[in-house]
Amino acid sequence: MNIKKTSCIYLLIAFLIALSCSDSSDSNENVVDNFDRQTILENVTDNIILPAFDDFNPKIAQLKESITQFSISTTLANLETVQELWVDAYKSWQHLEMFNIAKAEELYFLQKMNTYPTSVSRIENNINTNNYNLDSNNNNWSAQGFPALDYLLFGLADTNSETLIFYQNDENLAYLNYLQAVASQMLQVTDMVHQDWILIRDVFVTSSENSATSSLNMLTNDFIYYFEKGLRTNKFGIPAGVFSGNNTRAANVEAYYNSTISKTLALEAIEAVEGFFIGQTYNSTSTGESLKSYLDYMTDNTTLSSTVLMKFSDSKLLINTLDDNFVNQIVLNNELMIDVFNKLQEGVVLLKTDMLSVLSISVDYIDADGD
Amino acid sequence: MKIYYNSIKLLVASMLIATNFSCSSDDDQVITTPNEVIAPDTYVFERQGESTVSYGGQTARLDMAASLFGKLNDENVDGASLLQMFEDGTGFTAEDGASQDQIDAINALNSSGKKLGNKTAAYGDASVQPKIAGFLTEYAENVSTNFNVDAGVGVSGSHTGSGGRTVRINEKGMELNQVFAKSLIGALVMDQVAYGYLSEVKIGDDVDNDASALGAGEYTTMEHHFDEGLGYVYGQESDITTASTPQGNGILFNKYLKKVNESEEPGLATEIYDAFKLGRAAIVASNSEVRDEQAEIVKTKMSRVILHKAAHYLRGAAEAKAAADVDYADYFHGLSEGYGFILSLQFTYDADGMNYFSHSEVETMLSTLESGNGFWDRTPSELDDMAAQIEAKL
Repeated sequence: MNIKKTSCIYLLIAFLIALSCSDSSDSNENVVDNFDRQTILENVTDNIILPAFDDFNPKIAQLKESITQFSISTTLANLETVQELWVDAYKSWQHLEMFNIAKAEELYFLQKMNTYPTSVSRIENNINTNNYNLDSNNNNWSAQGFPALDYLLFGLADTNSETLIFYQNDENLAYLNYLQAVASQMLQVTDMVHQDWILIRDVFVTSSENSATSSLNMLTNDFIYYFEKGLRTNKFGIPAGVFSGNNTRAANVEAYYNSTISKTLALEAIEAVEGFFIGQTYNSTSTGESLKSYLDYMTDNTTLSSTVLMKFSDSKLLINTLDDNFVNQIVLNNELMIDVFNKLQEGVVLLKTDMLSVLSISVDYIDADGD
Repeated sequence: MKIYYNSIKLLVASMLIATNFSCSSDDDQVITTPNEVIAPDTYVFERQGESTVSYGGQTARLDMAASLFGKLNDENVDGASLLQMFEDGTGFTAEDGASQDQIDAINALNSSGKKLGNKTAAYGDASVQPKIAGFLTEYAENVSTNFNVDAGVGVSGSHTGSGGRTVRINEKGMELNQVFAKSLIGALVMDQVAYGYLSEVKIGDDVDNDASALGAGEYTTMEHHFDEGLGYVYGQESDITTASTPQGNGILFNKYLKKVNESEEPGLATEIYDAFKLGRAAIVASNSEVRDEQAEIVKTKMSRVILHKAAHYLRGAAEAKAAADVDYADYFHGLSEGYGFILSLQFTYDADGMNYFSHSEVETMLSTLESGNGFWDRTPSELDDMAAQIEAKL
């Protein structure tokens, strides 16, 4: 099919040239791509990815440690410590989810850390049977990571004191064990992905050519995929019912059981997206080479990159008007959730169509339209 | 690229000019018909200033399908409850966390008096309606009960693919919510339009279309029948005047009309909308010829959506199955959609007023898909062959 089509086009081209059409040069092609793409990889790796892992990995270690403490001593203070560390780590995670590349991709880091909605039924089943493999059974992706902890820390009862009573009950010892198993798994995978980044850093940053498997092309694709799927679809589209015939799916809100933080997580995510685009050092305001500077170089102006940044800031403005708790927002006025989705979609078009065309990078994934 | 397109345009333009010059013009005499039909800009028809267009019953049924679809991914659902929703049009419940508006909407469905069951495959082979109802009970009895079982060959349950999709499948790998929804696209929407509301029995010359005694906002029987047909296609659009570019709302035909219009066949949605518009105007003008022409356009063009998507999902499944590392969740999902669209083929309508594939041809394809261990056993070449068979009709 494709071959046929292509040869038809070639025939047509040959035919038209034979007709001696005059040619005119396309202004875009006048810009020769002399941009040093490796500088983007160096900046992103050294100033975003590695520092983000340096921040995240200890947070997960602390979270795991706090869960161990809680299982030794089921006090309210210990429960609250676990909950706070969970929130803190979940916020940091928003800065890493987009880097679904190398070891992270191989180990299904993203799927293991943040598949939501979590499957309560599967978690309960795992706990009851005490026969489960969190590491190598895909079916358990929805029974681990931040969303599973969300359920185990906030979803078992309405209040913390009731949750505490639940865990203090000897009959529920299996829940404490599962809590620890989930935390161990999270730390184990995080350690592996983090260590691998340190190991592959030099090789990664030198793979800057323009090919389907080069670091920059994959990173750029992962970034756009995250923007489209992780941010637009998962955080807004699906819960707002965009992919379910306008039937809202509040249970699909990220951090559903502690949904007062859903807006915080979404804002972290869009900060992360913006930071990556402009090459901003993690937890700092300084910037370096990035997709933005590359884009500005190729277009010889800042028109397109400013339009992209405008979409980011417009999206943030819209998100800021939402209730802190997206579950409430969906019930109160879902239209505002859809407004954010639509604004983010405008960003998707700019990044996926306009930016990739200027940078001559091919899309390596199929539309994530939820179907 | 641009240059070539422009050159083509020039080429075509010059050919047209040449054609114009070389043709003698004997076709500019004005042919007057007794009742000239002028389509309005949008699907707005009024009598004495009030709209005569109404299709609330169709919207209700489309909403029911969406609600029922939502239940087919839940654990331990009750088969009798699903059948009650399908056959009686009652017992619908709002999703957890639904807004008051949504709860009100569900309550309105329950008291609408409409139902899906008696409109499903109403003009088709008698075995189809029970088959579709059977998807509901099968989900309840064999799949939703195995929610935490890892699905495998001959084992129903859940399966999460490497891409992150989770499907609830029967022992043959069929995702029944997809099978159910895509089957209704033909068995409900296409069947009701092509063999019901836009057929001779409902809009033929014997049907009442005398508007002489009608007051503001009142419609003739024929007008209403035509609008009911329209309702199955556009009943969930928020604004019928912009439906020429479909919103893709709901889970049935409109959703796939939008997709086909955006990829396989741009312009198809406008052709269908325009034909509805002109056909309805023809009814107002009592012009049977134009009415029937436009009804034929609606029915044949709508059929193309089903043909396109049946082939599309088979091709997609073939590609997924051929991958080095098969994502079985994506594969089962896509092939289940394909299965439903194939079932729908028997409700299509071609230029001769026949279905593109007969009931028995469809049954043969479906049993091929289900043979042995069902979807687990299918090979890319089997699926590609079937797709080619369908594409040949396009």
